[in-house]
Amino acid sequence: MIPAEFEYHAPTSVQQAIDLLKQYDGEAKILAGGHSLLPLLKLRFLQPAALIDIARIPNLDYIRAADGKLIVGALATYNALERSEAVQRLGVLHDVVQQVGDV
Amino acid sequence: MPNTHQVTLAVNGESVTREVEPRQLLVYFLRDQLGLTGTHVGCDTSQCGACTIHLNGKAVKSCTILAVQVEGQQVTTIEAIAKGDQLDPVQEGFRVKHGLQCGYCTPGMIMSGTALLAENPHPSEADVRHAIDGNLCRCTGYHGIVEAIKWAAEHPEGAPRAEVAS
Repeated sequence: MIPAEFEYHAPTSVQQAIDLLKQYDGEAKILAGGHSLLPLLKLRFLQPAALIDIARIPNLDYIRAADGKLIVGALATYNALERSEAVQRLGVLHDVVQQVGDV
Repeated sequence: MPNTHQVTLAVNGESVTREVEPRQLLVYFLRDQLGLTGTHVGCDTSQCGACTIHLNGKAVKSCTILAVQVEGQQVTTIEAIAKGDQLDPVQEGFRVKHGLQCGYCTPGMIMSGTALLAENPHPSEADVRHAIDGNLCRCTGYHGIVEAIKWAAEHPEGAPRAEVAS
């Protein structure tokens, strides 16, 4: 299955990504891992004008537990969540991410 | 202006540069542009794992990643797992333990197995089963596959030819 055509951008800062989002005025989608987005593109349920790949923006893969909250960066993988001690302390979430991140 | 991007990546240790459309999926880039057809397309929906490759050493499903996303990164395919005539222990394990029937899932299984052992050389059976969680074998030969990967963990240097043949 082949997605419809789209433009591709790989910004290296959050500000660049925000500028691109504004430029496309709602017609662009953010691409992180892609394992939800790409299947939708392949089935053509989504046909965005552009993908903005945020994988080259540094420091977005954090997983932090603070003040009773778990804060997960946009580039944290399910695999990293599964291995995170903070997530392992949250039994249900740990069970769930093990089922999602299968490689 | 054509909507293509130039990508440069290392595939099996060699640098390759190609013009690709952004919508080109990595698995088709490997198969159609580079002729590396050992990586299979199974379900094409990231469920079956037949397309599993290593991206920077980690097992990844190449049907659900764009070629442009791997710019500057290192891809290893099943073609580079054996070193010449020297099979990887996981490949030998599949032979010794009858880890395949039709063989369609085998490249993906071997990529998941080798990625597991690179990270965890002494996995439990549960670890092995978890590592191939995302790889489907429709011959349902899972028992032999698990035994094959466990065999490889126990024989990190592979096996003498005589043992393989017996």
